[in-house]
Amino acid sequence: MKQPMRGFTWWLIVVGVVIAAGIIVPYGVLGGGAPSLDILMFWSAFGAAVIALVVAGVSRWRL
Amino acid sequence: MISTTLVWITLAVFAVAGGIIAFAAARKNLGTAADYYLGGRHIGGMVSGLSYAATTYSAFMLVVLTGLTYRGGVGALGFELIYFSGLTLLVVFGPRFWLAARKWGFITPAEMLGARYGSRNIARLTAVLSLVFLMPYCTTQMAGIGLLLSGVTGGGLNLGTAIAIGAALAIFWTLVAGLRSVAWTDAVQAGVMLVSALLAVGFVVAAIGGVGAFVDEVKQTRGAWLDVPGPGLWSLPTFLALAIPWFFFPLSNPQVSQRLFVTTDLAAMRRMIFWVLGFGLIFTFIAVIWGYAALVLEPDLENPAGATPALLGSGVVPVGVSLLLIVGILSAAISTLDSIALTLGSMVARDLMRQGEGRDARQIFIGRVVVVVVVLFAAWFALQNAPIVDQLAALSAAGLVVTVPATIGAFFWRGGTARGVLASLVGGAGTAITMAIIAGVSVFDPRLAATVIAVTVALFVGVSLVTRPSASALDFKGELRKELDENGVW
Repeated sequence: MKQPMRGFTWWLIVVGVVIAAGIIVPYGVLGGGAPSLDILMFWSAFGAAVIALVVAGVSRWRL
Repeated sequence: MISTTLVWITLAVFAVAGGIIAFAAARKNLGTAADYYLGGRHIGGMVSGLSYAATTYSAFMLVVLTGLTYRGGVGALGFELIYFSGLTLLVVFGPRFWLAARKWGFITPAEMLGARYGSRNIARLTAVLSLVFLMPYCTTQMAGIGLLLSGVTGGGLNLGTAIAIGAALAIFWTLVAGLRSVAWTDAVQAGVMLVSALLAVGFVVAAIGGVGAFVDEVKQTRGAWLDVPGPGLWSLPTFLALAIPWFFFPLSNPQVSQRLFVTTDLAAMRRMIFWVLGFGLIFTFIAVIWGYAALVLEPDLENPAGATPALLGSGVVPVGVSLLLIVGILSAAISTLDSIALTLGSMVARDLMRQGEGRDARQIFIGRVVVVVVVLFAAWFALQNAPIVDQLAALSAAGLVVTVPATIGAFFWRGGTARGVLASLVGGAGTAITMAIIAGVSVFDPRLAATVIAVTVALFVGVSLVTRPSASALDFKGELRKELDENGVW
């Protein structure tokens, strides 16, 4: 029981970090520069990371 | 501009095709309430996933999100992706909703909350709040249909006729076979939405000169639109104000959380989640690229929400593809509208009018009446442009978020009590309405969502700590643990 719940805690932490980064990085790091695709590319990677996190979360379901 | 006759012919083909699908779905119905409202809890992963996607990704995408990109640039992509990241909630809550609904026979999310905390008043109040915030939201779907059809025909198809068409289709497809016809037509409509939008985007990008030329054009002439806050719309406070309540959409909006009750098994739920993820990411990018394309090809529009009709009528997209995309956007609006109407029908029948087990025919009848009322309400107010309805529609995300603390607590905190939930629902919704409608705080102001969430959480936790759980409350945390462990769910 302890081991799976530790996995859940880590997953939750990573989800929180990724979502926070989805706001902080574009607004705090990438914004305000010369016109570029940096923010668009970052948010594309963010979308891919969300998919990876969901897949990681449901892949352990025993069906 | 597109010929009104061609649009009429396309709509007729769309209506007939949808009618055939709806009647095919009706042949599988058994006449029970669970069958009518949940498809007998036997919907497969692909159909439920596409239905979920078509329900959650409404006309908002190719009308409003495209307009937000047109007006404010890349911030629209970030906002929509934060909303998309809310799908992570399904990893935790999807199996819990599904297992609880199987174990105790829940049909509506409101009923589930009421049973968990041992109070029918919670179910009633949740149903009332859903009606208050979702019925106005339906008007925006209707308005989207009207704006699109009258826009692309240059007024040849007037607003009233366009809205009447949308209303008739939504009512018909819902009444025929309930969730099963809604889900089947949703699934096909999701396919139409995706294919038509991909084709249309391909044509507009080609018309600009290809991907490279498109990017160069945006960089050179609209560089600010690639940045945040960009030309002004997407300041950080505005971004947070919109993104935070929308993140909780999978839990706060009953028309999507009820979808977590419908899959055949957890394997189907997993496939459902994959379909929603794939559809959502692709459709988000399509809507944003479409907004940038409108910026390049149709600059200086007075109303950014008119970007899609302007692009479709510009001649850049072949008429056949434009007609297909019109069907796609119409599909997006109708699939959201009929799903909301059906969910509200189930909530009125079961949670407000207390039609329980053994009264299936009456539950279905009440639900059908509510579906008609909800759609007619939406159609009427879409024509009237009533300010109060517009305000409540804009407030729907921040208003419905008041159910989230009680929902999370239902599965993770045994200390939550019925009085705590009732206080949080009344206090949270009261705060939302007071701030937005009486004090005039905009939904673009983060203080609105932040205050509503803070008040809701504080009342739920605070009142629960000083009151006792009801004797009839269910222990989801304890009673579902064995099944969760057996299925490898956290």
